[in-house]
Amino acid sequence: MRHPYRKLSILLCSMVLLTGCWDRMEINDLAIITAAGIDLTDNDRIKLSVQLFVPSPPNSEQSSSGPSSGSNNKTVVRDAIGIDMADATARLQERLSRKVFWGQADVFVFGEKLARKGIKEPLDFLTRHPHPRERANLFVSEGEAENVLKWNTPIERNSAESLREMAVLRTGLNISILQAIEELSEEAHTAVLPIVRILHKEGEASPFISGSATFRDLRMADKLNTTETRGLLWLRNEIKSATITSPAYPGAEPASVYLFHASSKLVPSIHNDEWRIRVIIDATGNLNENASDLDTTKEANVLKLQQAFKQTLQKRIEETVKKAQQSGVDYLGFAEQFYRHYPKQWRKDKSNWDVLFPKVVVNYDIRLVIARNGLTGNNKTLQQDGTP
Amino acid sequence: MTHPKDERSMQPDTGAAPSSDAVPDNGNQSANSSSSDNHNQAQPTAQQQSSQGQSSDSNLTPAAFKPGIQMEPTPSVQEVLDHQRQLLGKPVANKLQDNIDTLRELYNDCSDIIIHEFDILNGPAAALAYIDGLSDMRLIDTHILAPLQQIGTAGSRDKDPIVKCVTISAMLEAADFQIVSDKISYGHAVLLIDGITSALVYDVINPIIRSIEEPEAETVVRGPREGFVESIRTNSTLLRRRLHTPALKMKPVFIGRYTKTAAVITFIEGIADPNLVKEMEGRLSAIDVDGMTDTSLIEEWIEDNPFSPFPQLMSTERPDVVTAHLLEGKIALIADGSPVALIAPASLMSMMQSPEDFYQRSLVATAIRWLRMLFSLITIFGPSFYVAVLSYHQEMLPTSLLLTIAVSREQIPFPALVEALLMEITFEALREAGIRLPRQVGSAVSIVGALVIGQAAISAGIVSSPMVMVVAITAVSSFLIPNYSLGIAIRFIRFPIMLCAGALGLYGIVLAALVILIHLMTLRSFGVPYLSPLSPMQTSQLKDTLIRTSSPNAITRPHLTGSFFNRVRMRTALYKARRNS
Repeated sequence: MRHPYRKLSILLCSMVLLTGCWDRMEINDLAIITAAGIDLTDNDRIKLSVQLFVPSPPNSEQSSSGPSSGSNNKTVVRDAIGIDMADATARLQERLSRKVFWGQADVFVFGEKLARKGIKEPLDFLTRHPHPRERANLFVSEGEAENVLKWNTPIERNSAESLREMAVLRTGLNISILQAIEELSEEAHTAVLPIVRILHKEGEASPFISGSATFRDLRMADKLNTTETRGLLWLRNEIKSATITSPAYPGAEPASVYLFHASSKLVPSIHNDEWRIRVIIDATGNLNENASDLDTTKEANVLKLQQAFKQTLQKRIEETVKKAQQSGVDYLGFAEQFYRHYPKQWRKDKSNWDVLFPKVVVNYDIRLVIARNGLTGNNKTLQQDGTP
Repeated sequence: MTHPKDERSMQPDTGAAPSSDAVPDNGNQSANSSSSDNHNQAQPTAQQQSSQGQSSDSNLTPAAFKPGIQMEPTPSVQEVLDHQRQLLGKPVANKLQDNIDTLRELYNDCSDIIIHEFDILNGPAAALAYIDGLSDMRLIDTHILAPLQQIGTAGSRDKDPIVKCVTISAMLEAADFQIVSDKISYGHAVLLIDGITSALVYDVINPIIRSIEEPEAETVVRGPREGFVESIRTNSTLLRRRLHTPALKMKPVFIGRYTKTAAVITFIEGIADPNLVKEMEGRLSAIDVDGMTDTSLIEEWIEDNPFSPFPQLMSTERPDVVTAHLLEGKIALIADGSPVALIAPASLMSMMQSPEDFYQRSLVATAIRWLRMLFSLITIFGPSFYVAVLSYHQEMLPTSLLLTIAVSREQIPFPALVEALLMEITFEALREAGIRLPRQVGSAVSIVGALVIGQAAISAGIVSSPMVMVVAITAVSSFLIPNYSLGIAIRFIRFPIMLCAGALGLYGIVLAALVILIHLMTLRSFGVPYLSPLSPMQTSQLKDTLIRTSSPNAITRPHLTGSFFNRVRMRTALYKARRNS
């Protein structure tokens, strides 16, 4: 009875031994890419530069007791030029002793030149290749992307980590590959990516996220500055927290509110061929600073402050909307809203959207509440003498 | 049941271990001995008693054989066996001298037998036979010899006055030498009287046992600290002390031709399924073997699937655990010479329970139970997962973790699988060495072991520090499993899983896990599915599986087998009424 089992077990054993380990790849044999930059060369070729992690092992006993030096987490930037991403990758592989590993690449930076020409081709590579993460962050760099990668950050492990953390902080946009693809597939075919700018100060370069680039049909169309980007974040309901500073009343000294809760909603409506969007914003915050002479323990003054902040906020958003409507690129997500609420009308006027979009009337419905104004009213000791 | 009267066990009562001296004796009958299992019987009989053999090595030559066959060429196996069978089959004769001769022949070369011949005051001649050390001399002197020699029978030659004269309650009569020799070998004293054709057997067993201690393998912080010992009588007493009821049954079984190990099937009548008891009796009676030195051997004979790494009977040294299981309708087996009781049927989940669970507050016990299950999974899959992720799925780790691992693995010469196997095997070796080594050397091993699996190994550049972490966590978590044999099984199966992970990555782990799961599904312990009550799902029993419900909520007993099912464990109505009044 046990004979068939024995035969079977021999068969199974040989199965394991004969096949070996197909895809086994030790970490020691991987060139781990932490970030990649994609640029366009002058002769319209793709220049792929990658930031590779250099795993220098911890020095033996002597230094292990002391604080580890920053040299432990070195990165090195290598580049290769090819016809397209795949070609460049293959050429890059030729110059490396280890296998290129995309699985941990968290940051992809497109050079501005490439962005202007179109990011269709690299995006196709990134979504088709099984390794790159869909959650990797996308950036557009002002100037060459390679320069961003070469930056050696003193705080984080490497510049990729630094960029990712900055994006996660949500001061600017935080766009992943997946998100970009989703937005590009929406009705308006637009996307926005954060821009990385390099700040040169005292001979030290440090990139930071500043503003954003708008894309239409995979081509970079326009740039938004930081304030406009904040306005965009409000419209996209991506604001997590914000600080709004405005004069307490016209001509007064400024006051600031820290908004810890903020949400926004776009409500479309069509009346007699007039396309409208109502921006509903709900925000709650704490009074952060009040240099004016308003006594915030009085309710009337708080209401006054709320009004002031509301206007500032509205102005900020209006600026972004105005800019978008001027450029004619609907990166605000209006098209999607009309498509969802008025699908029939949308289908009819879809081809006409470029004309319609600048004419969309935007109303604002902002509810801003100062939840905690603090126990300090009018800070008497700080006021100048004589003023009430 | 292998009672001593069983035809097959009509074998000599000499449980001698075979020694090298027995080999030349068998050389002549190689044809005979190799033809059947007589071979096993021949060796002990060729050389009568182990105690004799140990006391005087010079006697262990063929020349020192029993007188009747002394000078002849070595007797054949059949001759020896027939001779013994003939002696054992003899009834107790009327004439005292005949009986003494028979006993002397049976126990020749047994230096520890004492046959004391004396005259009963005003009565017949008598002889008292017992084994030195096994029987309590003081009892014999004060309760058998003193009354018989000082008070006597007042001239009567009958049996009754003699029985009345001896002041020992535990007495029985034996009619033939099979029983007589059995009883003597167990430490009873046998009184042979001239003119009476039955021997009087008195229970004067001298209990030489170690004191009752806390079992080292199953310690608890709160709860009873008694543990079983090697004496079956003490063990059954420990159970009876917890279950003061005639419903606690103890069915005797004798296992082993030579060891004649006394075992007891114990259960609670009215709770345990009688079919389960019958099944146990049937499986035990099928055992026909020379000796059974421990319950773990019995376990191998009666379990359902001997090729599985998983224990299918629960073993415990704690009488309170046995009691708890008996109250759930399970049956237990205790055997002489083993401090470990077997509990059947056993399920995987019942082995994941620690006695401590029931002695701590139920909420805490539940949390600890989950912790235990979590860490059991870590034991099984921890190293394999590490190997799989590092060899195949590097993208699965968070970036910073991968970079850290990459740094520490940079100069390691081995692939992750080899590294893991190296460390895990080393750990197992150290663990084994720690158990086997004498206590005095044990500390040395732990010092060296800490070096081998530790900082020294890392600085030597042979293993990476994350690997040491994984091994350490695995090692710690493997000791969270309360049942030792289950713990060994789980530690053992993680090696094949590691190989699968090294060959196929996470896919391999899933495959291996499936194989193990299917195996667990097919296992049965006395007809009860091994994974019950999880699969097949018995919702009523989940109260004591994933959680440990508080005692007043455990209203029903678990249902194990058959239709015999005494369901309700408690009368809650009365309890509630009394609490609320």
